[in-house]
Amino acid sequence: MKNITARLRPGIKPRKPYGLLAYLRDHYLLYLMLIPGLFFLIVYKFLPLYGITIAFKDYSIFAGSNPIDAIAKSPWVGFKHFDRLFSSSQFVKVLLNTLIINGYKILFLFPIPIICAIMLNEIRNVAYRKLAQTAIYVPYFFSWVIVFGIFYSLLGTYGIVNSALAALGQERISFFSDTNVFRGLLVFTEGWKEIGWNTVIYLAAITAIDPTLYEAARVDGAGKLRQIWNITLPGLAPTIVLMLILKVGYILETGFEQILVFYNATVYDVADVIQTYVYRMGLGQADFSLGTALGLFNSVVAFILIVGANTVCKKLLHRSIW
Amino acid sequence: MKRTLALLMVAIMAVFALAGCGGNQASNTPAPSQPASSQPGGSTSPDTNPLDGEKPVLKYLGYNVSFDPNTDLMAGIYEETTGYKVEYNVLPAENADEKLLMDVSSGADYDVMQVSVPQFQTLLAQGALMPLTDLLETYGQDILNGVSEDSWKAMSGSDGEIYGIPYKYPHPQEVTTFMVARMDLLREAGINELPTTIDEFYNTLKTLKAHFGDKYIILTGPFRQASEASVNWDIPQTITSAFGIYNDWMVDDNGKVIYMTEHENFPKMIEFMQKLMDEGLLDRDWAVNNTTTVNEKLSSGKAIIAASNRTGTMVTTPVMLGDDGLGLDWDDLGYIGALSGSDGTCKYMRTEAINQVTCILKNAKNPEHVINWINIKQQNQLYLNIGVEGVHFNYDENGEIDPINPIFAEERGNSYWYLNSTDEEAFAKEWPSRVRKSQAMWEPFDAVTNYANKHTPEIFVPNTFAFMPSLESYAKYNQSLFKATSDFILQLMAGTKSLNDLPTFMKDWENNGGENVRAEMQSWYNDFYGN
Amino acid sequence: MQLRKRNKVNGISLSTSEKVISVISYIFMGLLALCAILPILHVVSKSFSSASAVTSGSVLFWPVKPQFETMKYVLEETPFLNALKNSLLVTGIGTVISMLVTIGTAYPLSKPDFKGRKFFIMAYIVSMVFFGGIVPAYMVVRTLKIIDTYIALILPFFIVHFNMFVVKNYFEGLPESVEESARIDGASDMRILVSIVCPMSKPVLATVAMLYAVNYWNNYFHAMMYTTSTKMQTLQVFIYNTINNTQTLVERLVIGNYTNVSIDGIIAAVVVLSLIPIVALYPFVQRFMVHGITIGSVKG
Repeated sequence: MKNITARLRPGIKPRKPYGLLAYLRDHYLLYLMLIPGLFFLIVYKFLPLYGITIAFKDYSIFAGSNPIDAIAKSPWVGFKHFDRLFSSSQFVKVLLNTLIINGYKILFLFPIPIICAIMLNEIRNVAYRKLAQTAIYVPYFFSWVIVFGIFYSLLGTYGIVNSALAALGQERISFFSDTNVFRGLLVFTEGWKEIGWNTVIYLAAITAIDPTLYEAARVDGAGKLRQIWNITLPGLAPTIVLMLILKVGYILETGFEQILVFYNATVYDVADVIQTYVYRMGLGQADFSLGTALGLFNSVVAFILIVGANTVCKKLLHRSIW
Repeated sequence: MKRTLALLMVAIMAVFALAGCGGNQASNTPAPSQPASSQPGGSTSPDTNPLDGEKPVLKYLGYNVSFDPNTDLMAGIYEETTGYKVEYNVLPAENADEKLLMDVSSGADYDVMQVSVPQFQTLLAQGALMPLTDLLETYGQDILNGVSEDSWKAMSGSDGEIYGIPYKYPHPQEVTTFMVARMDLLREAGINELPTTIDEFYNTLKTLKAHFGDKYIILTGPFRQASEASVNWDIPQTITSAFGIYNDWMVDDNGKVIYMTEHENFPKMIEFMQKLMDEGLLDRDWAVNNTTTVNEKLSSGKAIIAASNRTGTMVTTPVMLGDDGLGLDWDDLGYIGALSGSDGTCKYMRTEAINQVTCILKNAKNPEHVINWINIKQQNQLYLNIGVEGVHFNYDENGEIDPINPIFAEERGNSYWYLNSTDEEAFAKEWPSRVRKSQAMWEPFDAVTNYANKHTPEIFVPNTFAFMPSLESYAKYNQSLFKATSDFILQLMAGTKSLNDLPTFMKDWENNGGENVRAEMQSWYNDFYGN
Repeated sequence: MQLRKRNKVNGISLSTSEKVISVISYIFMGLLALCAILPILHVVSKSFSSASAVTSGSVLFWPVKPQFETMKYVLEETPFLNALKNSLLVTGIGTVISMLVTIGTAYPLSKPDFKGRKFFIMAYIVSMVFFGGIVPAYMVVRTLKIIDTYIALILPFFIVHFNMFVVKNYFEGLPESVEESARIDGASDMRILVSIVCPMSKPVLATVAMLYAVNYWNNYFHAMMYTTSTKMQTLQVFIYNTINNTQTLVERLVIGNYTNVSIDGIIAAVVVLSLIPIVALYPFVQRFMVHGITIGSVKG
């Protein structure tokens, strides 16, 4: 929504380029609107950032009269916790696992909700479309523990699929303990759970696209694929860019809960990620320092990735989150 | 504009309405820093008895259960008997440690808490608890008398004061984990007796495999609980006992404290499990199984032998016996207790240990009332936990308690959660009746525990460290060490690691706190057992 | 079949490619829907099956020996209904509040000439990515004296950065001509927002409202940390506790002689019941997903 300098009615003075005070005076309401959100940011997000210092201290929650006082009273140890994290023999391996697993998820799962949204848009039968939409988004609400139960009955070594395989004389596949298959299991179950949900977001963006564009294109003789390529996809572009940047940004952090529920010691080599590794390291210790250090590391990486990805998108696609 | 304003007003009103909603805000004042201003209940001046006056409402924090302790039947019965109204809160099932620490360190005002032993040790180490010795002398004589000396020692801090009231597991020698076997299938394969030694066990499995091939899972397990707080043995103790391994920390013949992986039989035990795995005698999803999947495989008839415990049989037995289940009879179910080794070794750890600890926070307001309240509960132990003679139970000819179901289960079933301390001796006699609330629990208990107590009591080894007080490194590292060891065992069984990796494992173990823990425990052991 | 009836759309006949894509869409989405529905059916079936069937894992896609005792048990003997009430209240009120705050934030930030735009957006990005840890967040809640109240459950989601960005993105894509003409006619920013921008944004606002509703509904961690009494338990806390506490649950079933109720059945029933409000929500939201904009084109 750029400033308009054309289309003036006679008798109205042209507006000067906006100075700060003039803008504030004319648009004070906009600033007022921002206040509740900012209030929340300060109270709940920025004030607690003080807690990041825990990552650089040997935090003992009882060191003071309350946990915040305890932060001040805990001793500084610099990068000790980060050292512990990075110099561990397993660090490179778990870092690689994190990148690989989440990389697979983005590669294989990112395009699917987009395709689904486009396809759902092509389904004319309202009942069918609504049913399909609702059906695919429900799995998102199952907790991972339930999802594990469902897929173990299906894919466990003695489950439905394997019993069929055995009946056909084939070897049973241990989906949950075979390192060759386990990552695929993770990607597949995540897809099952999240595709429908992500589709919802793209669908909303598609409904925003002006239908007359499609009509015009049809009149011009454009086939369906061309319409999708020239109208739907560009219409979805801002949403796609937003989702992609965020997914890439959070590449180190996602998937913890799923892996914790699904994995076991026999697949650590392929599925142990940074967060599960640190989780086991800190079992029984309530080590807030270590957890905060890991969180800070993740945040810094995410920030760099998000800014970086956004810059790339700005250069290549002329789109940006900000 | 009007609409927006209206919406905004609604939102603001809603926010204020919510400020009035929800529970328990009145008591949520963050505690300003306080030196120990409340007297630890020392000698009270003769003319003001703190117990005088109206009884305060006590605020209680306990471990997670699936019912609401405030609305349960037992809450009313306890209130009637003790005269105290109590507001019960529970910790969550997961992340309980963190929640507890945050609550306590930010000034939560619980009058009394019942926590696990590790949680107690952490709180004690942090100086968050109130010493109870004097309070107990003055208001809790019954409590003092009901608990043994050893238990009190384990509840003491380095200053010699008592900081917690222990709840000891009532049965001193229970075989808590065992295996359930399908006797009908065993008989079909020509086996008429359950194995009692590890060799017999192996032969049983081989025979079953030879007879049934791939039709069944021969042995399924481990019986792994979901909650992080539970200790899960990835090799059932039915088997480990045959190798003389009965606990993660043990003491060898020379008085040295050793870890499970340092035991001389550890490699033999691993090789045994690897053999079972290689020969197809184990569930291939051994590393994946949990209580639900093991129960499923047993009760659907997919498995012949399954690792289990009393809770597991409560779930599976009705299904196995039911007509709409497997339709078996009681004598189609067999139970395998602790196996003995080829050389006759069998070691199963005594279950006499402290399960829960009741403690009071340093700045709590009503410690005298709390001790008084617990004392009254203990005085009425029989009534509160078992009930009224003739209504809830009768004495049988051996003088043992025979519960009258279903009223016993209905009116005393949930009583265990409200227990803080017991007259240990008396309760040990009363408790077995509680196992009788279900035959599915009683049968294996009888077959395995009662049998062992009667015929092979020598298998029970004392838990050397049962009454060990809080040790810093132990509290910090033991849980992660155990998890690393369990993982290693699973990897050994699956073949992703071999016994050649044991030295590397031990190095990591030492560096990750293992040596620190051992040093502490050795020092305590030398003191406690006096050489 | 649908296609034969509608060979023409607005008087222009459907080309072959359109028909082909249409058929592919039907089949593909049908398969996906099936993949999603079957496991759902499995869980639903478990909640209505007999204890034996559930424990032995013999329930597939239809209840085995249907019974209603499990449902009855959950509704009558567990704190489920209370937890449900808490979740509904928090979700309902929270979503309204969050939507107001989000729209109020997204609109100013969507204007390219808004002074301070980069600064505010950066503030949101930074606070989205950096988190101070549970300890200070917990202390904020405690200091505000809202532990164990509904407010504590709403506060963490007062505004969710991602949702705000979605709305902002959308607002940026709206044609400026309508707003400009309204401004020339003398309308204030607030009026433009309420009377023009919001009605044009129904699809995205409905979607984001649903995103918030789901945030509130699904939240376990904050509810667990900030509530202590059983009265204030939300649905997710209740579900997690049930799943992790099967031992005491088993004992209670035996004590009460609920022979036909199994723990997995209870868990399935709880999951199914907690799905109902969510599943009911979506068709309601879909009503707003209309091709609503008839003005101008999409901005790039």
